[in-house]
Amino acid sequence: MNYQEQNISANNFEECIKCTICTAYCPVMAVNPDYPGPKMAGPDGERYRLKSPEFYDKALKYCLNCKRCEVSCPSNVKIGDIIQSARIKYDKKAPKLRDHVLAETDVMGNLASAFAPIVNPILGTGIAKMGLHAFGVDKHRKFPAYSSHKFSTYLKKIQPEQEKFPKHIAYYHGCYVNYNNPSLGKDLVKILNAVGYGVLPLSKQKCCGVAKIANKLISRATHDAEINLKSIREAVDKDMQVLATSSTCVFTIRDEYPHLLGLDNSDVRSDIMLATVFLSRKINDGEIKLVFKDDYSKRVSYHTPCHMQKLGWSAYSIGLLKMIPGLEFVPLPSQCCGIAGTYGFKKENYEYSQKIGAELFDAIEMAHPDLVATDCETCKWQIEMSTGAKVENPISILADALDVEATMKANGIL
Amino acid sequence: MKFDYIIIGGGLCGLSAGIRLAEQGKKTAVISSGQSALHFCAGSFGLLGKKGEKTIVSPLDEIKNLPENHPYRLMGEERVAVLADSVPHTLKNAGITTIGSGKNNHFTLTPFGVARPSWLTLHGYFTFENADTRPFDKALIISVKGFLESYPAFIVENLEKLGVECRIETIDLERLTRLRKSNFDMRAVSVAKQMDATTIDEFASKINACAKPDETILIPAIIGIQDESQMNRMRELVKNPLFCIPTIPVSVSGLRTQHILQNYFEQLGGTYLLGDHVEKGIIENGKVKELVTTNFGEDHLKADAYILATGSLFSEGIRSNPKGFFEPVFGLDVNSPASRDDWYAANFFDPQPYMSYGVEIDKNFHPSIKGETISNLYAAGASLAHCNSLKEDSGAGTAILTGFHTADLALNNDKC
Repeated sequence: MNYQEQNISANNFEECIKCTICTAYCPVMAVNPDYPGPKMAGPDGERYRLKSPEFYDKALKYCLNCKRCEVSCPSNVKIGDIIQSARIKYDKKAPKLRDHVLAETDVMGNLASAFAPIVNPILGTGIAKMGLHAFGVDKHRKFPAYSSHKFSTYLKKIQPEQEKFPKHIAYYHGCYVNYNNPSLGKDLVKILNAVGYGVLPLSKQKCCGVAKIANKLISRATHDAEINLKSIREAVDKDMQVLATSSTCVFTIRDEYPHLLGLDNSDVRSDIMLATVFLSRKINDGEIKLVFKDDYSKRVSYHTPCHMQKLGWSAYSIGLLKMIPGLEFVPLPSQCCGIAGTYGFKKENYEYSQKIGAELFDAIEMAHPDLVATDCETCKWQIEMSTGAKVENPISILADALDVEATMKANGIL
Repeated sequence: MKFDYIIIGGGLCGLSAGIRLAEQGKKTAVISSGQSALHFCAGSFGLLGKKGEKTIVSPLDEIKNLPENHPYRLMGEERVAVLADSVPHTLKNAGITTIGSGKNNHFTLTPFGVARPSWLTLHGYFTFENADTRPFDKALIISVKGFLESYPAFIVENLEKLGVECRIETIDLERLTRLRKSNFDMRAVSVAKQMDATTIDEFASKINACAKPDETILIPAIIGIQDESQMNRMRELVKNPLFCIPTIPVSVSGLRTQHILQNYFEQLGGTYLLGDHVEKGIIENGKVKELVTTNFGEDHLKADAYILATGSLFSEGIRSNPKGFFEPVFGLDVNSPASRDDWYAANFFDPQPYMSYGVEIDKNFHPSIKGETISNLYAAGASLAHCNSLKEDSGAGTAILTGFHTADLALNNDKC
């Protein structure tokens, strides 16, 4: 007999009991009536699409891929994966040139870094903004400044001294640290070195591919993903765990590679994690200690990025922040900020993007923190643009508060 | 990761236990695999509302007549009374206003306008003392143009049976014009998200324009997704007495209650892990050693004691297959008979035996595996055996009271 329990298809699609809780938590549905919502776009629509691809609804493009529907689902249906897989499978419309440009973070980053002193001022001008607006990038958006010195170059330069450490991790820095914010990477090196770990580069790394997946550049995303997985396997073979400082990069490599690109990463998945997860676990296991300056004094809130909510790891980042004496922690409700990577940069999404984030922006203004901590760079851009609050990665906050010498002593390095 | 206490299940029961423990300064985590059945609450909490077809007037007096291994009987009448009395205070501290007490049930209206017994009713809903007498002479039932989840004609039919003179008016709200473009968006939670200050002003003035002086106004429960202040504002603006009628699930008040309780728990220092799934509980020497979850992976979650508040079959706290019923986290003993024919009653509307299948516990709410008691694990709420919350109208009462009770047992080494 073929019982239902032995007959569950991909993404748990038959487990949907039509309770509609996911629709209450969809950030897009609340602001955009053209989007049918996760239940209709996901398991309901899938029943029709299985009959005929012509039931594909192009409004599925409004899905931000925040996965808040999956997090809220009481029946463990992978609603977000159903929607994104349908876009990949059925949406035959070719991506626009604008989408290629936004998604090719490595190409654009390499170019912009090389000409950073020229590119940064140009991107800020009214003419450039109007040009980009005509191109489909919203005029309100400010591009993050590009750094003239790539982090990957720095990491190679310091490799000989990093190799001298007794223990090592490999760092998946991603595009943002590489092209825009090398100082976050340096903050991670500072903390890890203080507790006895050397930071080594992966043999080769490409963009995690989140933007390519979102813009349906699937073969390009798969190409990059295979390079990343190969380098990650090499690192794991050398007994190194692979750390990242962006929740979206980690989420993409751990979960989107197998779920959306069909790449098996099960042999290395548990070795890829956020740096805050690594540090928390080592501290909890008594293997390392962090000692902080005694004069740190700041009021800090934590914003949970959607992919961090899906990973379920906020407790690690928040736990580390709370270890800093003199840090007053102010919780924020876990809500989408509206940017969703390249989504909010697109002219047609700008209005929705800001409406989605409005509640979070109000909550931040009410909490009036000195700093908002978050593990995602695009959330950082969105919150800084929309509230004026200063946003930092938890790693940078920890590095700022760290007493390096005392930490080294506590870990037996000095 | 290590906590003092871990609660598996983040609905009304898990949060009640979590709040009780966090209030004592304990490092507490709540693991919630998705959102809870509290979202389906129609605005009122039942302690014990029904016995067969009979409506219960004084729930506390009826506890002695329940089956002897019903969770309320295991707690004892006195303990149920004391805890029931404390619930409105705890809810008030969190920011939730309720009407009612355990001494006597009052009545609310269902989405169809039928009287239903209630122990505690959430802010804004209509309540009355006696189900058989006319609660008011004249009602103006407000329908919102395009709204999918209220049934004014049924409400009229049922209120007319009590002798109420009813009138329906449909109000068109400007801000909903865009939402109405999509026929699946016109539901309570989506509409409530659009109810900003301007829309509430518009709603109130349109009601004032059509209400006659002696009418009681009944609106669908589409106001107050964040807190209770919007409903207070609405009442200030409308000249006549104004109340909400529940909508069908997902309800605005259920969603609001979930969020207020979760925020309160987090403000008390609790850790709420939403969207994580306990894949396995590891048992050693009659004790829970640690939990394996999807998100924490190889970092197992540990605590001194654990409370299982995973809910009923509906919430997957109990699962079934063609061979039997089981508790999926630990494989705890469940009170289901072996023969499949005994699981259900042939008449769909009769009490269904499977509805009272759940985790068997001892007098201190410890469950067991193959007869062996698990000494640092407690079970609470809808996962428990020998109660049928649907037929007893006791779901919220069982959830909150056994949540409090097991938290106290865990805090005081089984003495309370």
